[in-house]
Amino acid sequence: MIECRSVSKTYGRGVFALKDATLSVDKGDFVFLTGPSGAGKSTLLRLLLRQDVPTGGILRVGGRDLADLSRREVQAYRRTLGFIFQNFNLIPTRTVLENVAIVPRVLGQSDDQQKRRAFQVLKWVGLQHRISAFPEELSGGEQQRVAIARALVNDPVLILADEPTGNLDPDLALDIMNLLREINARGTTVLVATHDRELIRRVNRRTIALAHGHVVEDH
Amino acid sequence: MGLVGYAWREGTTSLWRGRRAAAIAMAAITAVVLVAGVFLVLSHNTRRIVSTWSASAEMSIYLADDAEPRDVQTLQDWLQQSGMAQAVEYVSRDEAFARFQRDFPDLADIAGTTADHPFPASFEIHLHPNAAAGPVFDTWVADVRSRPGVADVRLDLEWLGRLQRIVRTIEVAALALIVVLGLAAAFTVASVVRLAAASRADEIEIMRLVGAPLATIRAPFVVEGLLQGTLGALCSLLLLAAGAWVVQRRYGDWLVEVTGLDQLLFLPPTTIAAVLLAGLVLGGLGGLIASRGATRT
Repeated sequence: MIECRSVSKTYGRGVFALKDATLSVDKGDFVFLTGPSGAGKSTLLRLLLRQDVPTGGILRVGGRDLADLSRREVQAYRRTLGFIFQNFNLIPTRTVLENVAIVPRVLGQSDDQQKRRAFQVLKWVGLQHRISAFPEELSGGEQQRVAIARALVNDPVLILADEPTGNLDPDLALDIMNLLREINARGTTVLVATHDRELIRRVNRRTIALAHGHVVEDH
Repeated sequence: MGLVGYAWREGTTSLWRGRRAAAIAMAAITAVVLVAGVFLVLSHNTRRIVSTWSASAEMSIYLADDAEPRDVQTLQDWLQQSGMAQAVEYVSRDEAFARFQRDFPDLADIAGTTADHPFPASFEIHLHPNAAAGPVFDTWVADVRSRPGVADVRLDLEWLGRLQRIVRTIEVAALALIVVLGLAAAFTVASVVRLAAASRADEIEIMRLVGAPLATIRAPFVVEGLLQGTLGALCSLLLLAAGAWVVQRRYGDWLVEVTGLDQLLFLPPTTIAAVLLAGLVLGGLGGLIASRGATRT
């Protein structure tokens, strides 16, 4: 699914965010990406989201070299992904249902299809009773569930999560992780960047550790 | 829901949310279109005035006392066939004297007698409305002056020609001013739409991340600009119509008397449509500029 071969990313005057990073993730894997702040976790996720391109090496997802994608291909590629961020990235002026439905809506689905699909995933994450609420009316855990619902709504093949539990207490964090494990159990590849070692220990899945832009551990 | 429906709903919602800033952009467009509209109304009516005055313009060709009747007849035929005259009237010496006596009875005694009065025979030419324009007319007048039997030529078209040239110059200057103001208005709309885009930066980023086509992201902003531009143009037309109505009501009689027009006219429907279209284009341009900026990587 993900093939990352000697990938480097430098910013400005030779500041390395990633240096010769090599790793691979198979389809259906659940993988933690860990390391201290500045290790290169978020940079790798940015590259995988094609928000940026590597300055060296090859990064392939599903066999496609992300550096070679045209603008339209980037759009098509992103439609196969789901993303979850630490700060939830919900639109404050929209309801829960609208926040989730934004994905099928921009992909051209009808109003009815959008709402039906959004409701299905919201029901799956246990928020069917909050569809008319606005994000500020929800707890942190609920907001992250909405973000997960949004990530799931277009049936992605790969979910990228950047510190998805960073703003949550340990019990809520575990709930979110259990949701991600359920998603993974249905065949979706999940890559979670986190520096929460306790969470990694409790979930007990493959972990790739980064430090100073290098892969230093993979077990 | 198609792209148009989606863009319309998002654009109108965004416009309503940012209605205060949008009012500034619409005011800018209103001001620009109002300036343009005032110039258009003035230009439209000035052209009608020039046309009316040109239609009633006359030219007098005074004949030499010793002009041969054959030369006079040849001249009359030539004038009628020249294409410059709508009507050619021969005024004899006696008829000219009689007219003077009729028009200025107080001066009749100093103008002499039927036998020794100073009034020459003449041709009075009623010119075609557009005769005064262009060098062809000047050449024609010079030709008239050089004809046998012609003593002098008097015409009141030279100042009309000058007036037409002045009107044209003012129109060109106005057009330049409108273009500059129009660009300023477009950039004002762009700034306001950019503000709206900045307030929706998270939403735009999410849309980009889910792979929304650029057209889907940009279209609501373009719609927002289009609406601002059209509403601004509509406001300016309403103001302009109100202004024209007030002028007509207060000064209508005086203007009719001075200009010779039967009434002052507001803009013709095609110009109104063009003004609305200009507002639409200005707004759309502003929205497009802002949306391109908002979606730049």
